[in-house]
Amino acid sequence: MSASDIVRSMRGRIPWTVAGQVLRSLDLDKSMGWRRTLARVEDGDVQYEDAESNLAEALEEHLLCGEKLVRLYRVDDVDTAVLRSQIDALEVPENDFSYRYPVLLEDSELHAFGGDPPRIAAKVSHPDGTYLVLASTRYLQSREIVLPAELPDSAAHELRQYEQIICVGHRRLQACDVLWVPNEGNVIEIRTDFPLGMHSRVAVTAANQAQTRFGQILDPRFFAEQVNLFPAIQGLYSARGDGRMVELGFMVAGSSQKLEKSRRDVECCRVETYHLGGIGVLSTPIAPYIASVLWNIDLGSGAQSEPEVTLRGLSVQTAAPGAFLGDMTIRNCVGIVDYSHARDRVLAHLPA
Amino acid sequence: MNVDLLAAELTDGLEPPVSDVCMGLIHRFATIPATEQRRMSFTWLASLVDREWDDAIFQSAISAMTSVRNHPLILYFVMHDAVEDRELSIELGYVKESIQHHIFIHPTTGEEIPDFERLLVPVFRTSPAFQRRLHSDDA
Amino acid sequence: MPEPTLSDYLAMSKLTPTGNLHFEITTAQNNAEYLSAVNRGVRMALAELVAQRRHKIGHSEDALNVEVVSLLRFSGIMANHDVKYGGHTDISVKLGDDFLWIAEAKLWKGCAWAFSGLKQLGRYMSGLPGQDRGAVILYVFKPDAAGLLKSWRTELAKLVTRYVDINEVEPLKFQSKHIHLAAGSTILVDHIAVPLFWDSASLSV
Repeated sequence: MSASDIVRSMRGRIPWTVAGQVLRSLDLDKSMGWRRTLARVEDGDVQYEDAESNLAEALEEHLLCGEKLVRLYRVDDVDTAVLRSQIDALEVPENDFSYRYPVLLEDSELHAFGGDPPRIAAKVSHPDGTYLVLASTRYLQSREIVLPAELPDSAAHELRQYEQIICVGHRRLQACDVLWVPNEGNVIEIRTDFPLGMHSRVAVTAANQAQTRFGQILDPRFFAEQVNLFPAIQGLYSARGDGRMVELGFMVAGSSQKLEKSRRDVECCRVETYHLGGIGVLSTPIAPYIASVLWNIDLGSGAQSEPEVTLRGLSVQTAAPGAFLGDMTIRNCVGIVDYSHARDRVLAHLPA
Repeated sequence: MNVDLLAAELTDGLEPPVSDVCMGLIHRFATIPATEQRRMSFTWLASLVDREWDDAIFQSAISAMTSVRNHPLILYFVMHDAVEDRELSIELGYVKESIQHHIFIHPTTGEEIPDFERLLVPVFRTSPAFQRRLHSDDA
Repeated sequence: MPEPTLSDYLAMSKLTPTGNLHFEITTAQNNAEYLSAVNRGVRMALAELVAQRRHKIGHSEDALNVEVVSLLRFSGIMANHDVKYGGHTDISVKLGDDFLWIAEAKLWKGCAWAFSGLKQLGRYMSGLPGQDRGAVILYVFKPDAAGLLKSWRTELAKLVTRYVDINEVEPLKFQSKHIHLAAGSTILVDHIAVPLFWDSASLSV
């Protein structure tokens, strides 16, 4: 494992704004963009070589906590103890993923694993709990618009009748889906990799696959009681001052569906002038079904993060009692500290 | 703060018609809540004072409003992030560095964006210092 | 109407010298960038005077200074005439939180007169960061402004003991560095000759 392998893996999964905070916290200078930053590392930048173990730790924390679709499960005391000892006894098999962990395999190396079920890549103990990491191949679709004039002359001529050309590409990436079992408490989590650009249905399919696989490795009974996250939407909406709400979807009784989105650097949707003006003239409360909230977290060493939670229900769920939402996304986390903060804020708004 | 006094103070050193445009903007800001005094594009600001955005008088006024003490106006940029379907704010310093090096790094992906000049939209916000003075109760 | 992009803004700024100046001032973020904009604005304003020099014959120092200030203000530079900074300044530009540029402008009447302008400037400049650059502007209604400026440059080196450096920048401009008496910091003064001689009867070359 080299510093350049680690940074290459980071490039594959960490948003640049988050990576900036990671590198700042490690006192590492970055260049303009990933390509140049990776180039300086590949050229043998001593700063990065000296920080190799810290970089590996940072990469690992992001594998465990960064850009995830999250499901929570309630497990009773007896089963929690059983689960902990099963994981304790589990041996991580030797495979390409476990051998390279936390460094990720690249597109060309993943060719051999397409379609294979997820494999255990690592088992990690942290003060907050134990993590079991499953590795698999996932596909990310990219779309890029190209103007004919930007193409080589012959191609530009052939395509001259078009104003734009949409290029669709598929890229393989190694996904790391994680089972987290706390050292204390009864709520366990499956965190499925959900990088930006991945369609939500792909992430949901992957989450289902991860749940099935963890069930095969351990026991499916541990994943029988999924925590309903839908009530947290109303809780987060009502909790003015608890983070900044950047997206809000709600139903207005007997009327219509609204979606409000704010930029990250402006006011919270909860107290934004237009929103307050609207709800001020209603005779019944609104029924929220989508909420995205972010928090500012000081990570020390001059690093800041803005983890963001999204709970995305369906508008029809506001009409029926007992609405259920099993998935939430947690993004822009550097590692365990900010992830835990975001997760705990959601839990704080669920019934006990 | 008496808006007329503030406007007169901030435009001291300017002459009509540039000072008239600055005063017009300041008086309009006095009627807009502070929370809405951001993401103001050139065309939107120009419409407040019945000018075209590329009119030399208007541009002189904007230059003055960004450079006078307390910086009534602060320039920054926004761009649409197609992945998240959300608008990102980009600070002036980042854009200037990009112009200088002819390289713009997407804030989220960390990858180079060609032709970034067509994706970034210059916008303004009023400064906290200006807002405090505008909405204070001192005469 | 679509919002202008950075591309549109850059294109607009390149259409005219004034447009470029607007862009420079609006995007300035520190004193060095303010200085660059002021230098560009002053250069443009003085060039305008020179272009119109046939109409400046007989103009007083004050009249020329007021005209320079007007030209700067039209560009969006907050320039002033006769503001007191330890004395009545001919041309001053105050930008941002702590940037102050001062110029003393004189009709050319010889080196002693130019020296009085420099001494006045030294009294008005504070030497603080952002306030350590100024100019002596010499309106020259005689032929050979470059030659007269050169003579002033030579004389300056003899008159001033506390200078650090004197360097020609171009034929109609040189810079002198001095140690500010009160602040102890280094101040830099541009000496600019503005050739306003006009005689329609004589050959230009």
